[in-house]
Formats: sequence, structure tokens, C-alpha cells
Amino acid sequence: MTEPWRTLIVEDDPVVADVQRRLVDRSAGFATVGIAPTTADARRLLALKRPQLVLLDLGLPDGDGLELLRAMRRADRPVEVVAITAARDRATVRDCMHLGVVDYLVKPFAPERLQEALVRFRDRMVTLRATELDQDGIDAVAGTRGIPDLLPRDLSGDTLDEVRGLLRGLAPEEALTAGDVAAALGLHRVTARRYLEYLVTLQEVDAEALAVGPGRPRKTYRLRDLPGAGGAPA
Amino acid sequence: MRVPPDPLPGEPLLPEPDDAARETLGRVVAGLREQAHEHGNRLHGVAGLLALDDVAAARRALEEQAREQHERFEAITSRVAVPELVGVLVATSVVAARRGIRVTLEDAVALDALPDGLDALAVATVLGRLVDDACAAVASLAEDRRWVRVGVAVADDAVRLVVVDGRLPDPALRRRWTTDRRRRGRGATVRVQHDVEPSATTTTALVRR
Repeated sequence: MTEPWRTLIVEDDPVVADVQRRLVDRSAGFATVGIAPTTADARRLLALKRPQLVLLDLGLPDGDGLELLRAMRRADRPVEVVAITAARDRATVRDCMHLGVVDYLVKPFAPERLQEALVRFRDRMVTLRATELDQDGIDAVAGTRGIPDLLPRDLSGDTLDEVRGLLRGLAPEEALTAGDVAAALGLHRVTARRYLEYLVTLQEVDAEALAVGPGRPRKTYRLRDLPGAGGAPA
Repeated sequence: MRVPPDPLPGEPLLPEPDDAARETLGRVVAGLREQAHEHGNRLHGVAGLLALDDVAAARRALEEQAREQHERFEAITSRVAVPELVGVLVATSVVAARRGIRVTLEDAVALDALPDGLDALAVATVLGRLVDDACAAVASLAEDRRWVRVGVAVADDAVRLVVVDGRLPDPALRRRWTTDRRRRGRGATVRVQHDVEPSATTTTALVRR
């Protein structure tokens, strides 16, 4: 029988911690190995219980959960993290993404959302165990296939991926307007622009305003050049 | 002979009126923010319990929350009738509770009003500083030492603030000592004594007209 994924809950509110513990323990293949109400307890339990997954509340009474996450990364611990917070500010989300969290949950969230995060963790671990990763596997591990928890309510993850796919298919010098994307995917132009601008905020896509004749400049979009991908823009 | 350190280094104990208002307001707002965070968190937990169909636990959590809030607030408002002091006491106790520190009023406290002419905001600011200082001092101690007790009493034309905390004696502070600070035009004097008892540390401030 395979061992369950050892999960540490870092949360100072006892009721919230209890709910999380129950949700983890009733999820197939997961077991709670400890509950830490402070960063000090978390540090102790990380060393003692060696969890594979940490549900990390970022707002802890004795310190910053983000700092704990940084310390875990500095220590090169083989542990995955689901960040949980009431903070929705862009800087915190960005820091969490840079620090490689599996998922980012904003309180209040439904129990199903936490279970979705657990599934995401499990998928990542299963994929990482494979001896060779193909592009699909890398996308799954890197979470580059959409982050539905951060999506505005009126955008869908599937459509976002379709927009990404369309932009990926472009030749190096090509770019698309919102109208192009709308026509290709059968969306309204306004809707297509919302998806494109969202990808711009994620820094996946670069936008360029082209002044063509009178009136508003035309805005074009293309995937951001990846470092080392060659072909610096002229 | 070694002079004991200032209990509030770098900060004049009695602030200017504008600073007192700003500082006390800041302290109260921090308390409100903490309280809102705590409520939000607890409601999130209760919603989770309901989603798990554990109605009994959800009910217990709500009752406990209501009781805690009532006790915390009632324990202060039933014995202190000066709004500025109530605000600071509630705010500091809420912020402290989240750090695992219990801030309580001494049993003997019964304060209806401050002596005439004494600025309530100045008193609230001194009190807030003393409690914050005590909380900072016990924050990293063992759980049974993370407590602060507050006494407020009127003595003639002055108010005496006594803050006792769970710090064990520090030999450097064993000597009883006093500082006086007077400010022209403010009509108030603050006297601080830093006493060290066998098992706790006491700081006393006398705010006078």
C-alpha cells in the first residue's frame, strides 16, 4: 500500500485548522501530520514531520508566512506549498508564484476548492515521479495551463487556454489584435480583449499599440519572448 | 552605580495633542483590523464546518466566538467608562490575543471619569504605549508568562496606570527608579516607576494635570 501524502497545516485559527484537517484526511491518499498555529511551530514540525505538502496561511500571528515560505525554499526542502490567505494584493500573489506554490487560495474559499488544490498537488507529484517529462507534463508541473483560482469570475480557464494556444501558433514576427482572436474563437471583441489583457497582467503576453491612420491606435498582442529563446526584438 | 535603562527608549512618554490623537486612533484602527480579520477567519471556519455537515461544531464555534467577544468587551466596558481608554484597552487586548498574550484588567478597576482637566487622549496614549511595551516584552516568553494586567485608578488630580507583565526579574532593573517629564503648556506630568517583583514586572505611570 502506498503511503499517504504527509500534509502539514499552518493556520492559527483552530476552527479553520480543524476544517482543513478534516478535508485533508477525507481526501484519498492524504494524511495530516500536524497543525501549526505559529511560524515557530511550523518550523519545528517541518523538521520533525517532514511533510510533503504544507497548507500555509500567510497571515500568522508571530510572523509572515511568506517569509517562512522563503526560508523553506532557501533550505531547499523537498516540500510543496498551497498558499492560503485573505490577502489578494498582486505583490503577494506574485511572490507566491515566484516561490513556486502549487496553488493559491483566497479566503473564504469552498471546501471543494481546497480539494482541487490537493488534486493539483497530487498530479504534480505523480508527474514529477515520471522519469521523462514531455511538454504536457512540464505544463502540468509548472502550472502554465491556467490558474483558475485567480481568474476573474467572468473568464473561463478553457477559453484562456484557447487564447494561449492561438498565440503560441504565431510566427515570431506575428501578433494578433483582439478582433483577430475574437474571429478565430467566436468571441465578442470586448471579451477577447479581456482575455488578452488578463494575459498581459500575468506577464505572459506583450501588448503593443500601433497608430494606424486616424482614431484610436490598434493594439496587438503576442506571447512574451522567453529568455534564451533567441531572436531579440529589433 | 548603573542607571537603569529608559523603559520606553527614544519616545517621550507624553505626546503632543495631535500626536496623541493620531497614535491612539492608529492603535484603535489596528485593533479593529485585527478583529475584522479574526471574525472573517472564524466565519470562514464556520462555513467550512457547515459544508462538512457538522452543524453542531459550527454552532459551538459561533457560540464560542460570541462568548469570547462579549467577555472581552464586557470585561472592559463594565469597569471603564472613558471611551478613549476603552478603545485602547479593547484594541490592545485584541491585537495581543492574536499573538497569544492575555491582556486583562485588574479586578479592582472601576473608572467612571478622569479628573477634570486631564486630557483623555494623552492618558490613552500613555496607557497604549505601556501595554504595547509590556506585550512586546512578553511576546517571546513561554505561554504561562505571556500575560499583561492593567490597573487604572484616579488618585486626587492624577490618574495612575499600573501595567504588570509576566517578565521575570531583571537584575538591572531591580532598583526602583523614577523619571519625570514635563511639557510646557501641556499641564500634565508623567511619572514612571519600573518595579521588579519576584515573579512579575510592574511599570507605573502617573499622569497629572
